Amino acid sequence: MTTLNQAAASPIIDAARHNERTERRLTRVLPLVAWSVRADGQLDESAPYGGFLKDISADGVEFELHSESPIAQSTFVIGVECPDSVTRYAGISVRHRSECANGTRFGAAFDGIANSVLEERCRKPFLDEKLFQYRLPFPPTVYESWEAAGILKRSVLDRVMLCPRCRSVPTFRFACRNCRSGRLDHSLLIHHFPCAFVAPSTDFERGEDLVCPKCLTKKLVAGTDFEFMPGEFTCRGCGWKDQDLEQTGHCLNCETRFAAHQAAEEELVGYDAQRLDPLALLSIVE
Amino acid sequence: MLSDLIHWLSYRSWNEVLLLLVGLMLLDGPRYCLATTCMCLYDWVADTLNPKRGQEEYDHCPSVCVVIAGLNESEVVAATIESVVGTYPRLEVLVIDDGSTDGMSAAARPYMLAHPEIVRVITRPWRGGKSSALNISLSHTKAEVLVAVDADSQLEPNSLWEIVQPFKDETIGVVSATVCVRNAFTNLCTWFQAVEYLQSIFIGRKAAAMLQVLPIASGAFAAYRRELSERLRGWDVGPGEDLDMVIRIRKLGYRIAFAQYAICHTEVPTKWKALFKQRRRWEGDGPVRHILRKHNDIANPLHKNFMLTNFFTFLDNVTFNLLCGYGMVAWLVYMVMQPSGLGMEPYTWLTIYAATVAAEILPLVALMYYSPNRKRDGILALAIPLMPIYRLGLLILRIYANTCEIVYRKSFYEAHVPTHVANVTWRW
Ligand SMILES: [Zn+2]
Ligand SMILES: [Zn+2]
Ligand SMILES: [Zn+2]
Repeated sequence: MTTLNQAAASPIIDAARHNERTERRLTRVLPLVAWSVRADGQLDESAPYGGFLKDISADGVEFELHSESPIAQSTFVIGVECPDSVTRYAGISVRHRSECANGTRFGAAFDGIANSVLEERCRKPFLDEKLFQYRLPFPPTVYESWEAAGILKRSVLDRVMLCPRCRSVPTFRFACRNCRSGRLDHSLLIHHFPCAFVAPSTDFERGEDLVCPKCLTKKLVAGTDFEFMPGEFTCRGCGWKDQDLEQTGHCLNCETRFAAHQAAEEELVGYDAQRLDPLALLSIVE
Repeated sequence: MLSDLIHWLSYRSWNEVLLLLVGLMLLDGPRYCLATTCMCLYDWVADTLNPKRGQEEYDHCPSVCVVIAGLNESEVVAATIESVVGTYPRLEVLVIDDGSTDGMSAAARPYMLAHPEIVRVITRPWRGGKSSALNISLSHTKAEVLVAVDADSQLEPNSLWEIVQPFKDETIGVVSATVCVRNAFTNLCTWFQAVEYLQSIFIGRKAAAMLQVLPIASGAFAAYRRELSERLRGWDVGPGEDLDMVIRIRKLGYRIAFAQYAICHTEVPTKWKALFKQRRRWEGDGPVRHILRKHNDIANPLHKNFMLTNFFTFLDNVTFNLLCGYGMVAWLVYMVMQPSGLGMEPYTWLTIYAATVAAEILPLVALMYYSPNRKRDGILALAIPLMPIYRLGLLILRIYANTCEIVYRKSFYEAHVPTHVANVTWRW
């Protein structure tokens, strides 16, 4: 551990924010690693910089990065090795910079694209209302580069059944096995016990009464005289008849219909990150 | 020994010979011997005069719906469906699972998925009885011919073609078919049944159909003009629903035909006890319940639908299936009480036995004449010397079953239909 250097603390960020700052100060200098972040959110391919965290507040950080030549980039994701030996990350954008002994000293705020990527809502997929597809707010390459650097950790949130053609979210329902339509008629059969006659219940209906068309018995009582039985489903689309329906998907985007077992089952992937919490860090180090 | 017997016989008085003959005529075997021999002779002469006879092409092709209704037949239903699918062009197959608990419909479903335009499976949530299961088919098909096939029975490749040919004749309402025993060589019990089926169905029903007195089409394999089944609104509550249906169709004025070469192979009971139970049911619900009680109007000349053929069917059934049994008992008592001691004479019984065996052998010629599988049937026929004993057993069983039915309507307490159905069924 680096020994604390309270004297090194200096005002950070701009004057306007300065007033809101917490009065607490970082009592130790912590090592950090910083990756430069491109405008599209991807990490720069160049190796990360090493350096020290000098100070931190709820709004921003002050830190030094070591380099031979001046550092020009202004969006970074920094990983701070905390006293509990866990590295925690924060996205920042530089507000001001100055030369120092080993490299460059920065004053930066927790905002900008690097900060956004680390936000919880940007690490979880959401449902696109137009395409009915699950996706993450940034392009996959962003998450891949962050994951490769060890900042984000892939985690499976759930599994989803998707349209095998376009990967959109379908609705699932029991439908005709032949044309996969959900427009179906279902008949209910009646079995009259004494005469063994079986027919659709509509054949038994005479006004309010139930009359057996075979033996003409009137005022049939369910349970003692007759039973209901499930009849067949008839598809209004193609005329197919079947007693059992098939669970079928209907894609909300491309309208493809497919058997449920043909659906593309995919993992719904999000990313975990150890985020740097300035106040928590201060309370540990104080 | 034979000369002793002939010697003994030659010393009998005419009265005694007549008494022996009466006893013989009360038995099934000798009676059928006469009918089948005549029929066979007729066919032999006709076939000789016209060699092309019986070799007509199949020229009738109505749409057919095969209904396979069964309960807990998951092990055999697949073989049954396989024996049907692909053997006929205008075919539908309806598998109706009468509330099985052994996954029968699951065993049938793969065929529905493989042949979606042919096979359909209908599953009942709970058991409702064979008749109502068959009746489900009425609201599920518009085919011209309904063919009922038991789930444990398999058809031969040309069976459907054979069974629909008689429908060319517009007056034919129902076609009865041949039922063969598949497990004939399992043991003596099934062997006897195989011989019996050959004689009473393959040959016997042909004779009965020629004489227009056939009252039954086995539920194992039979074809019905659908329009008639629909007009009658289907089968009535069983047991004996197959026989009942034939009589009801005949009462509409239609005739029954027998398709001898529409063959199905079925599994018969392998245990004597199971056979006993099965026959007690068949015998009881036949003549007493359906012919003597439910459909006795066919014997009433004043009834508006009176037909002579139906009347003869009534007479034939009541006489031979019911009265002959009691006649036999009376004859036995009379024999034993003969003052001459005729009933105690071993030669009397030897004569009866020899005559019954002879009466089994003569129809054998007819059997061989018609048989499509002479080798198999020839081997089966080796059991013929023992058949009189088997037939005697059946006769006793028949008398017992008929008596039970007459006295307390036993068939209405059968497990053949579920209790909730049996409780509300009309009793005949
Ligand atoms: Zn459809
Ligand atoms: Zn009814
Ligand atoms: Zn789609």
